[in-house]
Amino acid sequence: MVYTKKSPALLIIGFLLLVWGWLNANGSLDNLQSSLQKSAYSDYVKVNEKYQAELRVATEQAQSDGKPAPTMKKPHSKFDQEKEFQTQFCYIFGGAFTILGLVVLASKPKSGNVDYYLSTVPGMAFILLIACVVRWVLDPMFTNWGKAVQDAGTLSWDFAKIFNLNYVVMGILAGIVIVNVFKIPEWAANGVRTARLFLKTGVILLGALYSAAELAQLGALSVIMIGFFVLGSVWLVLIMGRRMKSPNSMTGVLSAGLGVCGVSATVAASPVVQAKSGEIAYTIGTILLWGVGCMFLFPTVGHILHMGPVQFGAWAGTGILNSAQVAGAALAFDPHGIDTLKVAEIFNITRVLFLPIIVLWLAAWFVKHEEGAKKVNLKQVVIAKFPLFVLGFIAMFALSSTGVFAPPGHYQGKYFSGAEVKEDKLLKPKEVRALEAELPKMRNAEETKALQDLVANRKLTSREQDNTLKAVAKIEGLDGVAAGAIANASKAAWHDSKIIKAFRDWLAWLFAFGLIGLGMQITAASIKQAGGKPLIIGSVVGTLKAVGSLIVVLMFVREFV
Amino acid sequence: MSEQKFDRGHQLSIFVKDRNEDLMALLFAFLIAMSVLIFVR
Repeated sequence: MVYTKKSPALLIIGFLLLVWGWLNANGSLDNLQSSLQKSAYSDYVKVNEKYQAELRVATEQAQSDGKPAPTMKKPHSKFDQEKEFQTQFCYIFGGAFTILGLVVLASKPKSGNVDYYLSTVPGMAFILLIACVVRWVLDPMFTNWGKAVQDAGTLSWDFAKIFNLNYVVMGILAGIVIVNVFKIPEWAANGVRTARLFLKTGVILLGALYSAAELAQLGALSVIMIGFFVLGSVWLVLIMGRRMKSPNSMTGVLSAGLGVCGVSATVAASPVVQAKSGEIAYTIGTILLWGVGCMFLFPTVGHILHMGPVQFGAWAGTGILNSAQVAGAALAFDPHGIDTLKVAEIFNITRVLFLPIIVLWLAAWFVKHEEGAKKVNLKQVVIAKFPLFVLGFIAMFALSSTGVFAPPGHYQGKYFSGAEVKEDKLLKPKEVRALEAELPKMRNAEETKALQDLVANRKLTSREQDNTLKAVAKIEGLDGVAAGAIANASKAAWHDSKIIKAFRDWLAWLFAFGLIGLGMQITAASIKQAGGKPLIIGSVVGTLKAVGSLIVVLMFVREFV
Repeated sequence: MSEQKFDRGHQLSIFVKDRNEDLMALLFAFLIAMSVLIFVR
């Protein structure tokens, strides 16, 4: 059987990408890009103004010295980097697709592996083209729109943030719209089936974002609490699913999604329980829908109960299912501090580390219930069913913890290093004087020492000093310049690992690609067939988890975090 | 939920065995990690 369809589609997609790259390179899209990439564009304006000012000073100096006008290299702004990335991306993929498109049209494919794998390329190019539209146009457009509506006072909240209208959701939605409204073209059908492969690659790379050192900040009791709620939720879904006679594949994938968190766990567990595309989408949809409600409810309950930042962070990180929505709720509760967000995210990512245990559990559970095995041989289950790519996730986490990608204590690539503070980021004399004047306001010896050290070094030297001075910056009546100096010193001492940032970028593309492809396999009929049971199970387990974790947090968190 | 049948693989994968897909994902992740480590400085 010959799989490759003779179609000009691949050639056209390649050509479209080349055109976008070329228009970007010659600046024809600058107006559009500046309206989409607003924050990168404001960085460009700042960098440009600074460059022009420095050039003017240098030129005037050269003129007064009777020397020729100097030449200065224009620094790269984030806007330039984004444009450059898009151009290179389009040239590489556009060029490759154009060549392969010509090959598809000119060759006479014979049945075999070359034909089979070549037949996936047009579909992959189709998904990639949509991923470009989602990542470069729709995602920034909705982000800007959400902010604009909030700033104009039409809504008191950012709808794009609350409804999670980022590339993850929009990728799935784009896929669903395409398959249900236009149908998948025949030439793209095989390529759409590569979606899970790229989602798995993304899950492996996800391990690089975390490190054991950061998790070690949590007490053992916190880890026990997280483990209890993760494993408890999985157990509850499995029990309810069996009672409500939901298919084992649906129950299995839903338990992973509700127990651990969102997309990654759902993808990781799906092959183990042989979940179908509709079931994966249903699980992701249930989690995201539940999360939207939690984002509104959690901050309100937190304020009513007068929860502290650590308590609320622990609750949100345990009770809300999706990572982005955990961050959203933490920011809604405490928009100006980072303590809540940090605690919430650490609690949240600790759940991800239970992934291998859950996958193993589900593999054994599925063998027992689907294949009717009376006694499950765990060794055989591991050999036959355990997904190897989860080992890749563990390996990346281990490598990340040893400091191969970024200093071992990093968190999603962000790490503290006083030694790496650049000369031009040291505190200015005016800031140092303002800080010295505030020394009498210090409340204890620790704060006094932290501030004295900052004055002496003009930069922060340890994380403990950073934490102490963050509390100092909140002292009532503290001079604005001094508070600003503390914020500047903290900003200068925190760095973002370029390697982890590159992994984050890869992750975003892999997940965007995978989720668009996944969305393209979800028809209205498949969702209808899944019925309302998973939603009922999701709501019951989600509510129990939220209420249970609230009680535990209120009772214990103050003492052990 | 009945899904479309394919001669090779199934609706969610072009591979006949899930393990082959896992191995390919591991290979891709390894290549990405190596290229990031080599080119990003």
